[in-house]
Amino acid sequence: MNVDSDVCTGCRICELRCSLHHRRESNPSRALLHVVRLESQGLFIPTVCKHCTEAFCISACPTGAMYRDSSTGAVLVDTAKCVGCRSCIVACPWGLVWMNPEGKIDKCDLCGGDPQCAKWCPTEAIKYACSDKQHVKKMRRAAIKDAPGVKDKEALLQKIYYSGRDRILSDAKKE
Amino acid sequence: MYGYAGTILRINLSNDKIVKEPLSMDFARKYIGGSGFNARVLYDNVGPNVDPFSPDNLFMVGIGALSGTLAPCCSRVTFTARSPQTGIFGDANSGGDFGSTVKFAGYDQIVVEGKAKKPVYIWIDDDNVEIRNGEHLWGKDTWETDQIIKDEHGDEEIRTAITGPAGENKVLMASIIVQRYRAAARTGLGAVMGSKNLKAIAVRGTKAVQIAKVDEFESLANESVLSIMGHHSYKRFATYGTLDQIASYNDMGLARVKNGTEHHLENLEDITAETLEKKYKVRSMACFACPIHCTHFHSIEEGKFAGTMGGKPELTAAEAFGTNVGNSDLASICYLQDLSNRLAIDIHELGDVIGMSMEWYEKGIITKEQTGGIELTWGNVDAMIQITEKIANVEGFGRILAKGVKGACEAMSLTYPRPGHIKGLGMTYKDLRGGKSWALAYAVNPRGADHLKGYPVFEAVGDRETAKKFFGSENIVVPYSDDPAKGPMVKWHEDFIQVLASTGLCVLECLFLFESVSAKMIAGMMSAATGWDMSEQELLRAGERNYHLMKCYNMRLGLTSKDDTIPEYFLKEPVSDGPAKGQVVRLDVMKRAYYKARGWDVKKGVPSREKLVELDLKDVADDLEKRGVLPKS
Repeated sequence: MNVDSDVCTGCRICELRCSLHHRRESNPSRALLHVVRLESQGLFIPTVCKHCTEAFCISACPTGAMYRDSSTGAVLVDTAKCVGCRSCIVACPWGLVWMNPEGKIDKCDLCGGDPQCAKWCPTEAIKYACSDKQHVKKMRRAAIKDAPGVKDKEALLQKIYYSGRDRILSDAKKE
Repeated sequence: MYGYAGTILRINLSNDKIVKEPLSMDFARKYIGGSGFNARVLYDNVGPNVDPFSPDNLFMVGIGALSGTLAPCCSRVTFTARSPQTGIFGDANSGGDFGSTVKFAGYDQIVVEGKAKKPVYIWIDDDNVEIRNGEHLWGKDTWETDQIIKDEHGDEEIRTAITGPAGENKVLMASIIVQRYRAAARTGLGAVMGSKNLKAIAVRGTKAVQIAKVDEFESLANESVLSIMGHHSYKRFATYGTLDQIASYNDMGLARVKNGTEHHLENLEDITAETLEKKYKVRSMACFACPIHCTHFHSIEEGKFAGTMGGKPELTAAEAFGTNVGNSDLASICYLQDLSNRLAIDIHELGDVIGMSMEWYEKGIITKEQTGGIELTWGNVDAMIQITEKIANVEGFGRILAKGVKGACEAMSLTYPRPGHIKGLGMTYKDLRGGKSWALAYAVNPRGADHLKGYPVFEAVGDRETAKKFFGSENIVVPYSDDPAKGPMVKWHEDFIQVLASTGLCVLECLFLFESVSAKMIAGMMSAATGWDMSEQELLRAGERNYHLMKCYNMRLGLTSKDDTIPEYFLKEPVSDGPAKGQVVRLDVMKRAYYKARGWDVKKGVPSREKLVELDLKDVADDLEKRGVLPKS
């Protein structure tokens, strides 16, 4: 999962999609990701599980409940093995694992490989893609933004900004 | 409970009583939500003898029926009260995510009555509702207040609706500022908050909105999002927002320059949406659940106004502090907008009174002594800043302008024609001779001179083919035509806008991006969310019913067809220059067609008993008949 807060508009469609998918209700506060909103600075920062390669939560789990799914690469919880010791919560440096009111560990599960937050993000602030290539886009935008004397700077930047829309429309066509 | 939160929150500030009433499903289905709930409660509880500043006036927050769901941009919130500025029906609407947050806290409507003994603010944290001391907030601007409340509760994500110094001072054009840069501004409802000693409503909501048919709802939400994003105007609108219209309104002759003395601003390109985006844009921002993100955060790094940052100026701000006052300095427009938001002043009315007083000053009608030394010359930014602050604090010449266009003319004993007002509300810098359906929509608007009750933007953005297909006549988009077809067209817009305001959806997404979210889709989403079987017809009928509540509220106050008019110079004086040169408005033709389309008495311009009974408003008909304002059938 790749996050780019520079293009996040704070619409919270990701939170809504997540809660509808996982809880069958409309409830951003129970979503498995969160958009940190700093209105005074016009800054919105999506926070979503990174599914770390060397996952802190997996290392910390004493019962082997926290594991990596071999097909999607997602870090998941096996609720049958989980004893509710909260070690994973302590271990996660990003605060993206927590215990829900039902007493179960909650975290992002990548929706089984088709994360709804990324699928419906209008600006690709959250994108499900290979992160090795993803940084190139970020790099391009930063370079264009800062460089003096770039012609049609706005048009170039816009192409990057609106790729979310084009992807959503083309995905819809495919389906 | 599906779709709705299920509770109405009643707060009496006089005796600190907080009551939570269950929402009746019959009431919900009949009036849908948001503006509809508010209009009905206002009609029932705030009679003709209740002064707008009396504790008996109600201050209401109406949450849309679809707020908190995936319906695109569902979070618009309607504030309603009897307006202190016009004395008639008053409401104002704002975006952001305040509305959905109130719903997540568990409420469909907040009704505030009475008056607190000292300044207070209302704190809602899910089930916990408190009336808290607000003395430390009194006198603070809206941004400071927002920050103090957030710091007090240690949560940056609290949502607030606040009035500023203008509201505290009961300035008739005081607004309510939602989340710093979103304004519910028209009809002076900030002053109603001030009159109740209510500084702010702050809310945290963490509960769920239950959806009756999740899969069906999701697929309808998908359909509407794809329809919006696939619309040919999406990219432009998502980049530039309403400010983009400044050029097209200028081309139509709908723009008023220098208080309407001219019709074309030199250097208009300095204040267009493209210029703003290039110079000051930081990033796009969206309302809750909206894929459009039509606004953006702006920040000014250098020059006189360095340090200015906030939500970008929309069309009205650029008109108020730009075209209408002959100013083409974009940074100053951004600054003045932020200043008005901090002080909580309605930008529409403010721009009107500044433009008007500048014309007076330029023509020698008022002197420098009268303005307290402020040189109100065209485009004088410093003068505008000074006068804005003086209006908020009701000082010096600001004391006169704080009364609004109508009140200021009366206070000066002037019968000055420009910009004029409708039902007591200033003209909002449109030259109605340049857009004829605007003229009609403004004339019949129940809250006065304003475009957002019957926003006929189709005349500007529509094409002939769609006009023919949808409204049955191409003449709707023919420039300067005052064809009677505009009657039913404005009626349709009014009913549809009531649907949007009661479901919490956005006029811009649904009308600018015409038919991207249709009444049929909204009815589908309502059905899937609530589990009802609601047809498009039923929904539009509810919109029509809600529209009638506003109309009937004004009828009860004695308003007649004579009040459905526009300032005289639009009717009699042809435009002197610009694209609409030679145009006047032939209002009567369109008005008759409009009344006919509404099924009203064409001469008197009011609904009959039969019409009200047909809309299931028999009790309203009885009330009006008892008071002798219903025409005999």
